[in-house]
Amino acid sequence: MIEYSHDKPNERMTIMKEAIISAKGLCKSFAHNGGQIHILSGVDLDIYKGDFTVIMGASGSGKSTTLYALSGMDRATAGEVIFKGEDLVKMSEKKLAQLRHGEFGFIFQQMHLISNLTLFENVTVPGYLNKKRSAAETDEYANELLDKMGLSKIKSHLPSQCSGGEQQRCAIARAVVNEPELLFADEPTGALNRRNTTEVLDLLTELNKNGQSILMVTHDARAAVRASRIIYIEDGAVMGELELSPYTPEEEKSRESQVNAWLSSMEW
Amino acid sequence: MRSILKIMWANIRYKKGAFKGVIALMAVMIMSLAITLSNTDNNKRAINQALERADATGIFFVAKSGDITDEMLASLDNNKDVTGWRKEKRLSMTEMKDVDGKRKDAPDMLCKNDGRYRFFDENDKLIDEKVTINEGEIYLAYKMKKDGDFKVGSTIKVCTENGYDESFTVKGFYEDPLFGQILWGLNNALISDSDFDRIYSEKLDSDEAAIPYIVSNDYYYIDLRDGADAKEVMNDLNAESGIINASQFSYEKSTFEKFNSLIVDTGTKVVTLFVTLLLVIVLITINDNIASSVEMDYASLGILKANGFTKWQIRMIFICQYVLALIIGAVIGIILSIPLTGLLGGQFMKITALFTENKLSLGKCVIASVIIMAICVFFISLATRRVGRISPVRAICGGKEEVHFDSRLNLRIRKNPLDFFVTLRQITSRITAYIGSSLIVSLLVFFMICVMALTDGLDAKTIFAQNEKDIIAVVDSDFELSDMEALSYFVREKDEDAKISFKDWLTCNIKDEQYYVQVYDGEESLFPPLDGRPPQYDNEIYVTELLADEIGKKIGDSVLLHYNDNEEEYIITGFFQTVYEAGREAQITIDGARRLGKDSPCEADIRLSEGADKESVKAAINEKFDGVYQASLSEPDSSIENMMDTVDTLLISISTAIYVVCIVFAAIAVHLVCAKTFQRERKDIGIYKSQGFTSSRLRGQFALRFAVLALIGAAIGSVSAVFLTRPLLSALMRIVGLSNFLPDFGPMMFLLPAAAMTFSFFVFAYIASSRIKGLEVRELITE
Repeated sequence: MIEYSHDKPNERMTIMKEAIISAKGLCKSFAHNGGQIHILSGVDLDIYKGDFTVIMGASGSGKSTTLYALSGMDRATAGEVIFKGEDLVKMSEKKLAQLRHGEFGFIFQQMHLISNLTLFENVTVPGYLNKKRSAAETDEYANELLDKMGLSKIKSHLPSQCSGGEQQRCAIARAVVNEPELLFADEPTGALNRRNTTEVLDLLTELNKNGQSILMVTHDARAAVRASRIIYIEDGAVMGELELSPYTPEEEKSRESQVNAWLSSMEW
Repeated sequence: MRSILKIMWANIRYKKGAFKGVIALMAVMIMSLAITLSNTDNNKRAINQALERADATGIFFVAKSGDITDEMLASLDNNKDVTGWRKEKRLSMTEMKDVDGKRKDAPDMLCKNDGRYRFFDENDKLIDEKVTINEGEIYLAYKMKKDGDFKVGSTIKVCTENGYDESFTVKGFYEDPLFGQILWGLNNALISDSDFDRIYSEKLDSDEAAIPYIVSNDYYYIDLRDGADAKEVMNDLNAESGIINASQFSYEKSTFEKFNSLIVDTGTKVVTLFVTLLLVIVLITINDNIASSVEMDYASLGILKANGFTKWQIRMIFICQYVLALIIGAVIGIILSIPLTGLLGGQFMKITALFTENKLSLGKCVIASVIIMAICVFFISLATRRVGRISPVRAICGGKEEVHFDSRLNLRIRKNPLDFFVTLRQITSRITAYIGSSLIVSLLVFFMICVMALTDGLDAKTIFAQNEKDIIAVVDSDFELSDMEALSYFVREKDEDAKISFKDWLTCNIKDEQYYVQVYDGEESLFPPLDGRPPQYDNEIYVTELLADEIGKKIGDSVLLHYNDNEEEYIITGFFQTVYEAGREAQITIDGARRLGKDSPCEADIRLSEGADKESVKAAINEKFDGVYQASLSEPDSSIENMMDTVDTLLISISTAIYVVCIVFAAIAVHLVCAKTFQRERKDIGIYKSQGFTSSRLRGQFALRFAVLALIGAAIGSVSAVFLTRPLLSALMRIVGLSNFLPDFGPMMFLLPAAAMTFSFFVFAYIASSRIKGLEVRELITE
């Protein structure tokens, strides 16, 4: 729980925020040439409901590793990641799979759409895993999402017939089709041009505005300004945090300056 | 060349699975071929050596003692192609024997041990030392060992005019070099010289006796000079003295060679056909492998080209890789065939009844392997042509073109059943990649159905013309031809639905060839017609298609039959098939036989209606026709049962071996395809995992895909089998006389192979997909 102000963006006020994920003492190492490479060294981190959290850091700092450890996509070597009272580090593969289609959504840098499914099917197939919703309901919701993403007209196209931006928007729709608790995004704009980057970021901002909790990794300050909270990681440890007010397009430039100044102080 | 070999080694190290898979396929194929070639050679060698031991390297014939005159024998001495001849006496026993209280029809001939025969010990190995047969002892032909009633220590009683007064104890089994094979109806037994001479001088009946219990036959062995044509010599001898026509039956060496290896040759043909099928499957698998490799290693191959490798050098890498795998596979296959040659040889020995050495025909195996490899290399060089289309620029830019899946059949993915629809999409998206797998299944299922049809279709009734009968009535001393009608009338009074038939046989000459002719009259046909109808009148004849081919006649043509000094014309009314006489037989009516002067009595076979009292009918016949007919209850023909059991065992062994090899091939083919598919779809599998699909679900989808492919292949194979089984098996079984093999298709014949292949594909694919479990989602995500 942290203190945060609605009316006075720069002042703290006590508002109880719920942590969706709590990581304690998170470590991740890889074996290499007979030795060990330590990527994460005792990361303590909470991710809060409703937040648009961004993890930033230089290349090799461990930001993506942190993301995947928090999401259960990669198992930490030590420490714990608590989600709804259960430790993801010790969770079985079956339960992790349930989390992936029930509670978490993922957006990858390389989109990673299934090449032989249409855009519509890429969204609905994960949706069909949700037993609480009927096929018709999933189809309807998928159509809604694709419409929101501006992909209605090309929903029967294959990924290879679409641009990078279109694919990434489809990936976003796929990630949210099951209304996840938390949306993870690993450099979602990394493979996109400027126009598509803005489109994707706008979509993520909109989702967050509507209540979607997001955890994003990026090295792009322009993407980071959309966040309500930025965590700086260096050498596998959290070096600092920046709280921001909710994003508005009018404040983009001032936010960018604020973020850049802060990153400079972090020796970015 | 050095760089080619270096890359080849690197490929082999990196892709051991594919390399091992090709080795395994080649090993199984060469092993099957080596076993077949070796057994064929071993069998041929055994037959030829047996014929040499028996002095039957020229012409052989059997005649009733007294039928061959001195003038006839003089024609043998006068013939320039005859280098020598010898005669052997035999005692022919016409009545049933008593074997430990059971009535048996075998053995039917007794002879002396002239030192040419070899004897088996209890372990079916040859006895090295000389065997002396003592008084009261009897040695039976090895083929009779299969019948459990004939064992060492059994007592065989032979019927003479004094009753069952000759008794022998079975001491063991011997190798009959001429008639030992199970298809021969003759069962010769060896007794002591003293027993033979005593029976010959004291117990012999004349041919004119009302019931000749024991008659004398002579076996003639005629040696010919090298290069002499046995058929021409037989014609010359007939022209000069009619000696061959006077015999009961005559054979040349080639007839023995062909007939004695009939079943073995048929088995060999089946296996050779199977090996050809396996070769096609190997070629399909190699083609698929190369196609996948080129697709997946596109970037690497493009980079090789960019570094100066020509397309020929790259193709050489593939060729060297596969040739190495083929060579290793061939060597392993030949080594594995060594013990298995003995195993199959042992089974064949039960058919040929000749002791067979189990040697490996290494020379032929190596030549066959080289030929197969040459065929494979040719196909590999064709399959690697796609290497020429690799563009270095495209490879450097990150790989192949974007793939658009045009053939999705517009099948929407539905929630239920989700796995099935996703599976279907996987198949239709890359249909060309899976054609090979379905084709492999179709070939395997087709062959399995053919083998099942063959095994099911070879039953005694179909091939041995074994009509069911309840009572057999053989003629007695007071029999006259008019008694036949009286018997029929009498039996119908007892049972109006009874079926009665009359049988006999003779050997006739048709176009200078001797043929066995059945004499038959009955309400049910002895042989079901393939075309036309059985003979009804005295000038009609029914022939096998093979006999008709040999004499160049068809239905409606007339043929001239020679019997003794008589010659009559008959019109062909229809075709039938039988394995008797290797499918070269004819049938005429009793009146037709009388035209040829064959007036001898006939046996009557009586089949009563359901529920009729066989004992009382039999007793009534014996009472009414005392002195005319001797009726007895029909007993199963043990020699035919014995034959069928042995053939069944062999067929089951071959079918089981074929099914096992089919499953093994399926396993290897699935493993190779799965490995490539898994590599190609790693990313997609990781994406599905990241979306919440569990490993077991993805494995199930993977396995389901191959099960669907197997089902499609099974359907194609089954449809092909419906149309192609009959012509294929007819061509195959022609050698044993079945020119028109009619498969009796039942649902199990299609369901069993389809189920076996589908299940195998599912299981093997599930096993091969175990790597999905270990695949970390993290591995697929790039930063």
